[in-house]
Amino acid sequence: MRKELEDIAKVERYLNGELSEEEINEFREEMRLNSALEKEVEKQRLIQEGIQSIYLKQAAVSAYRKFKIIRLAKIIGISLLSIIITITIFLLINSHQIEEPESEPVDHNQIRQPIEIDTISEKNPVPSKSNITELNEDSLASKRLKFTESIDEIIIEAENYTDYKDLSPENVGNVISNDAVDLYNFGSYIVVGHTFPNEWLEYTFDIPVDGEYEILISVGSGQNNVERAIDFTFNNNYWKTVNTPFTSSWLDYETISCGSYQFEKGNQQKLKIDFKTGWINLDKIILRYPQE
Amino acid sequence: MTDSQIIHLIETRKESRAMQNLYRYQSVVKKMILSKGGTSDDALDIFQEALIILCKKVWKGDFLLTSKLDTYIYGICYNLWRDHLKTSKDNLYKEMTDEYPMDDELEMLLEKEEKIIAIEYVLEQIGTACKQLLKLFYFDKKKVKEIVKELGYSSENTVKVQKYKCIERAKKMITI
Repeated sequence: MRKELEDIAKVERYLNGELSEEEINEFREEMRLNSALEKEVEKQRLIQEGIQSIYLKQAAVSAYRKFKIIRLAKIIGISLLSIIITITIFLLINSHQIEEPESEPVDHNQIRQPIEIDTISEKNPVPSKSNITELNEDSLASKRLKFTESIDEIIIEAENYTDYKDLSPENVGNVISNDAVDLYNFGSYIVVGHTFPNEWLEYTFDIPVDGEYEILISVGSGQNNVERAIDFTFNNNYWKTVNTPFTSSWLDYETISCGSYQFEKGNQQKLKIDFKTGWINLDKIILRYPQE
Repeated sequence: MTDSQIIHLIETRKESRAMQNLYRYQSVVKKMILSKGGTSDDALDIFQEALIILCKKVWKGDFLLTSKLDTYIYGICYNLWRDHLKTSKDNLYKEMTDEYPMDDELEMLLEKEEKIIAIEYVLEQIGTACKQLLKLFYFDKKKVKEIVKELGYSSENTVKVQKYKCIERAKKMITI
């Protein structure tokens, strides 16, 4: 081996700790006297470290690639998971809604118990128990369909009154409320029931465009052979009295047309419904947009 | 993975897995470097350099973690970036205080980094065969015997002579 290579070999042995203690001391003494040798040692040390650095850097770069792939996989995994969860929740909610009507008849047996009010004699517009059996899923389904036909109508639900007069001091219905208006929940719809003469409800609504609106009301009555009439008052102007039909049970509702009313565009308009006779359950009032 | 588990991985030459794990601390470093006039590329470079310094320091032996590993790495990056700003005469470095003091050994490693980068450049030019051979010795820390087997050399002496020739080649290109 050449002299130059011999020298390199010795430095290597020194750097790798392969020299004996005696040799190490000798070598250090030599370095102290010969700065050129010291430089050679430093160079070889740097070469060793340089090689380490080069390959460590490669390892660091490939580790970064793996880190990014794993992170991406995690992100994709999480998004997939959330999509699956969303779909599952969506399906669950949907199936829950479909099941709903089946549970309704059970409720009705509880809610339509006859209610006696001592102060008001004889008349009792609360339906008898036999009427309850008339409720079937078909009628509920058709009821629900009607609810969705609201694209060109303003629908005022009976329970959304802004003012009222109710003779029974508290809500005798089955819906929890803060006032005396008698509200009944029939599962998919809520009505104002237990109505008496001189009781009234007032509604506030907005009219988007001027025009002649058809006025419809959805009402039910399980009481035959009595007079049933409602007074309509729009914005403090009496409009008309409408006679409402017997619908064969308190759970069946019919939508009847009451005629047309000329509205001017404007917000916060008022409708007062006066239950002149009682014997009427009110489900909703519909203002149908003028037909072009 | 705990800090000591990561250090253990480095000690047992599973530094790739350790580094893979440590990259989660990269975002904090990136934020710091971006706020001090650097780019995302600078941030990645600095972070990788810090990982390399950490590995080297662990391999030197008796590595003692005095703070949490993320703080430790952040500290290295902070100092590396400050040094970089200093050498590129960017006055932003004055904003960076001595928040992360380092021990002497770490400081030495940091100082050497620049030299190492120059050496790396040289080593890239000694040829693939030499680079590979030196890698087996200095990075993989393999014994001469193993290397003889792996590369199909006739004897240990041939391998050694080949190694010295490669070192000689590199040394001729280095000026210090």
